[in-house]
Amino acid sequence: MGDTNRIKDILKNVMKPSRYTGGEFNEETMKEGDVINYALAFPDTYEVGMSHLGMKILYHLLNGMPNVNCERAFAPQDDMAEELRKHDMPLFSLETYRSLRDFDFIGFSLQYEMCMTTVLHMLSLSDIPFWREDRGTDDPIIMAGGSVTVNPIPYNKIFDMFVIGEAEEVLPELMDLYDTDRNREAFLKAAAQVEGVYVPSVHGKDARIRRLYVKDMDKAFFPDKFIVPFTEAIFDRAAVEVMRGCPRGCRFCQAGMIYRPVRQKNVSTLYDQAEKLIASTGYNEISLSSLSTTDYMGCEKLVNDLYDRFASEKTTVNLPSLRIDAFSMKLAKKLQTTRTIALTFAPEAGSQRMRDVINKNITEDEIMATLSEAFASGYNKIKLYFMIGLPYETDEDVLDICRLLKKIYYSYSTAAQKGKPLMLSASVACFVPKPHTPFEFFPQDSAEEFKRKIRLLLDGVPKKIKLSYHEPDLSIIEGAFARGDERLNDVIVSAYNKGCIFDSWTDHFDAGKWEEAFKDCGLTISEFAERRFGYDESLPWDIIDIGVSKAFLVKEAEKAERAETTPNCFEKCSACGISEKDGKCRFEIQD
Amino acid sequence: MRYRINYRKIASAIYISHLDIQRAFQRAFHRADLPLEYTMGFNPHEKMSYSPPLPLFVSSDDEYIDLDLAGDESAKEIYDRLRPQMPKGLVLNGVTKLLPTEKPLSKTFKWADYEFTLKVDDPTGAALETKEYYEDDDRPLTTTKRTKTNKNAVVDIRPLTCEFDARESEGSLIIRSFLNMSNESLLNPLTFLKALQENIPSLKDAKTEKIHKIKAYR
Ligand code: SF4
Repeated sequence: MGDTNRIKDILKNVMKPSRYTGGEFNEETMKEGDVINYALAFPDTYEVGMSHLGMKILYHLLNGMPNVNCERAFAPQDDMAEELRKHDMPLFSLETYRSLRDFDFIGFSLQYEMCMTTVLHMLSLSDIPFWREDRGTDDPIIMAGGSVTVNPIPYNKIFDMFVIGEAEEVLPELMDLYDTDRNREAFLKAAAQVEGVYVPSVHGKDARIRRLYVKDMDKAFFPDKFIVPFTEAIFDRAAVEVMRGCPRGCRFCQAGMIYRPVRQKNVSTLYDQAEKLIASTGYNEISLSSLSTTDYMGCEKLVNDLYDRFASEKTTVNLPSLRIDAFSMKLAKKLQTTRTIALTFAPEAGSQRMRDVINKNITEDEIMATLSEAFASGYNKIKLYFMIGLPYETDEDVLDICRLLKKIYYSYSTAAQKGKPLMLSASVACFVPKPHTPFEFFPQDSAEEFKRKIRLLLDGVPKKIKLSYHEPDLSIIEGAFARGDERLNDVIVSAYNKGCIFDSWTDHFDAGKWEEAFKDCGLTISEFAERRFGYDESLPWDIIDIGVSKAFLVKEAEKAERAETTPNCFEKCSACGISEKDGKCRFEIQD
Repeated sequence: MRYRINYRKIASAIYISHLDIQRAFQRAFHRADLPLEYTMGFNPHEKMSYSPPLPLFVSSDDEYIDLDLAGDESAKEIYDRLRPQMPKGLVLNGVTKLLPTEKPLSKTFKWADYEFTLKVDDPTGAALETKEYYEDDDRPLTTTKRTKTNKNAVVDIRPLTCEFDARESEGSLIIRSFLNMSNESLLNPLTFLKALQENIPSLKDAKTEKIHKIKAYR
């Protein structure tokens, strides 16, 4: 137990103190005795971390082990960090207020590249050396997992070990392995032999680490309770995971490649899990989570079953990701009693050619039909997502986003919709080429080029359409790291030392400091972000065997150049490489 | 049927804001599977009302929530179902069934008995000075507070308090007082403390250790 009296003192000086106290309903009770202490660390605020489904799964999974206590730690907000420093107190866990230093493991969940300075911030507040080489017997083992680690190389001098892929597959085994003699060095050596584990101090450049994934989602561990935060988290609801992976194969999308194959749960499993979660949390919202929930084969049955079961209790069901098609509209109409919330869709590109380049299998006719159906049903708030800077993009393609937006805007008749004006907004992201996707070979646009294209959009879209866009200066750094190599380890530490932290929050992000950090290491952002790799060139992240073959990625990249599409996995298998290793991909679900 | 839930807010629950307490109770009611009644309209919500909000960092042994339920279960039944669903630090004292003639919570309580634990250099001396000061009606005990219409409204806390006492205990200064709890002239314990500290010299640099509401009186 940490020093609770001193903690009490500093909690009086911070905003929303209940974020730091733990004690929420369904928090796990810590076991007595000499167990392994594992700190599950999320390098962002409590509100963000507590919304992450993976954290919930691992937390309850590890605490279910007889020999492990798993506690939570999040990045403190600036006011709290200042108080900790002022009182010379370490960052502490939520369950027992213990310093992170005193744990056997700190496992960081890395969900976006720009969280790394916050990782260092948490280590610094815990008085733990940044470099793995500087850590010794008394230091915790610093682990990383999460989608960022499909290219672990830019961070391999910081973390002691990486778990690549779905960590629930191997964490219990690793804990038992550590339990044999609880020796840091011996454990790291032994762990390097475990599938899916990358240990930089052991593995050389030509190691091949196979990504781990759950084979049978119905049998996979899923908690029957979630911790219920006192303060409002970003997502405060009972999320059930209907499937992992996505059948679509959009060429820019990393999740669509690195979570292959699609693995679906049975409707009855999900119904059961939703029921248990609602009973144990008291939430009044069920979210059917996945990369593309309306593609889940049991979607309609599940939605109907849950709706019938819960409507009378005022518990709502929602689908976080809607495709632009008639089926999605039908479900949305059933689930949403009010039409006041915004419908969001992602056409991603304005021109048909561009949508074919990225393999977003959707036509303009489908987009228009879906929206006219939405208008007719009374929706008047629409949000659309687009991307600029994609491979083979021309200015014409960018301007086509304006054309499409105008076409949608003028297809709406205020008079016909009882005087309700249309509120149309578009959010434009800067494309970031990601490793293990068909676009991993392609250079990213420069910040200037992105800004020029954003200008084109701003000039081409009437003011009545609300246009927002991602910060190009941030996107190019994300791009540099996504496809980066070992040299970037130094850049992160340098950026942190200059004061970078919470970089994914626009109020904290400081492009100038990052530029300096690259410069201090003798590097530039653009040499990483704008790099083109040959199809046969060896890539920093080749060390990770994601399951999808390089040959498939190259074939997809070549098809992109010809604007040729590839059918989704449910229609026709494209032999991406996953099936060769694990037999035929099976998508059928029983009930 | 309307039920009155009496609870304590203690330990780490003092860090939970009033709004978050409301949500925590809503969730607990759902978990307990109580037959909730909802308001009409687009955004139906549970029919419930609360005793006046307690500021952050203030603990209490005597807080209330009124809740409407369909059906006519015994108060004991409601208590038994709700008790295991309460988060840490929110502890049920009891549940009672209300008669239809019962006044709403906002009109029920007149006074709240508060205890303040303060750290000062000389607690015995400070206790004496504080008592003398309070009992001398000619010496001012006013401060400013933010109201809906006025950012710096002046309040005189003397008429809003009674049963005032100050003493030393275990090296700390203990101030005990009834504070007005009626809807119209509710005295926030932090405003009370601010008034004392702004007017009584030996309290100027006092450090607040604990503010605790002992009981609410009708
Ligand atoms: S093997 Fe075929 S069906 Fe399976 S993920 Fe790859 S492309 Fe899809």
